[in-house]
Amino acid sequence: MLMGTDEFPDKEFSRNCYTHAIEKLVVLANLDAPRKIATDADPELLANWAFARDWSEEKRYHRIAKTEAEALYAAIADDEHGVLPWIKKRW
Amino acid sequence: MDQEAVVSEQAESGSRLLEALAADGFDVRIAFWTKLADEEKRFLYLASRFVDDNGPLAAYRLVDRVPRKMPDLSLWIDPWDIRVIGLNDSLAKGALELMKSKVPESPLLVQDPGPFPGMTRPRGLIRHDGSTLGGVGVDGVYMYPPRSGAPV
Repeated sequence: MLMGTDEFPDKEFSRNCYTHAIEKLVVLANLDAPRKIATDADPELLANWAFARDWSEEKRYHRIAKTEAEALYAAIADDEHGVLPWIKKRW
Repeated sequence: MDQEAVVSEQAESGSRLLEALAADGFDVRIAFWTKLADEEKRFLYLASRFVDDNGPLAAYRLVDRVPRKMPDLSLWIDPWDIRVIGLNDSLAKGALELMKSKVPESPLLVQDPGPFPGMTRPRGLIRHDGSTLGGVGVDGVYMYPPRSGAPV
């Protein structure tokens, strides 16, 4: 948890959170060290994270092959090695 | 020049990684270290047809295996330092263009550059001092020369 629910968020911290850059968000959420430990132990999680990390909001304007889009979805949503389930466990 | 030059151990480890990847069937057409202008970290970019043919996820699965098998290599190159890109990626196109046609003439390219901060032995990296690569803003590019016999 980043802060208590009754705490007023730090202005600088809040401003930094206004980004699509996943790597910056990982650092802000103090998840970089736990992620390193997890991906060292789980190569599939590492591959999924690396793939998801390379997405940028600019890509919404690009033509992406259906297979690549489906692979990205799987990398994020996979129950066992996916990025989002891993993050959700730390909410 | 960028403030965070490629250290010699990283440059050397990158070279060894490329050899190990080639032995594992991952043919890297061109490889380079660079930091994108809007990012804070430098990455080793590996441009390969494999990415175009099999997708980035399959490429990451393959590439991430190699440092795990070589503990001394992983001291200097973390899997998190690596990005795989296809040959149609703007950065790959830019790097290939530089390597193919401009190495002998370009005033921006320096073969075997002299020592720069953090780097004691250049190891043949080719430095590109331009502020863009393939139209993408970058802060320092250090390219590995193609392996002997490899097409550029």
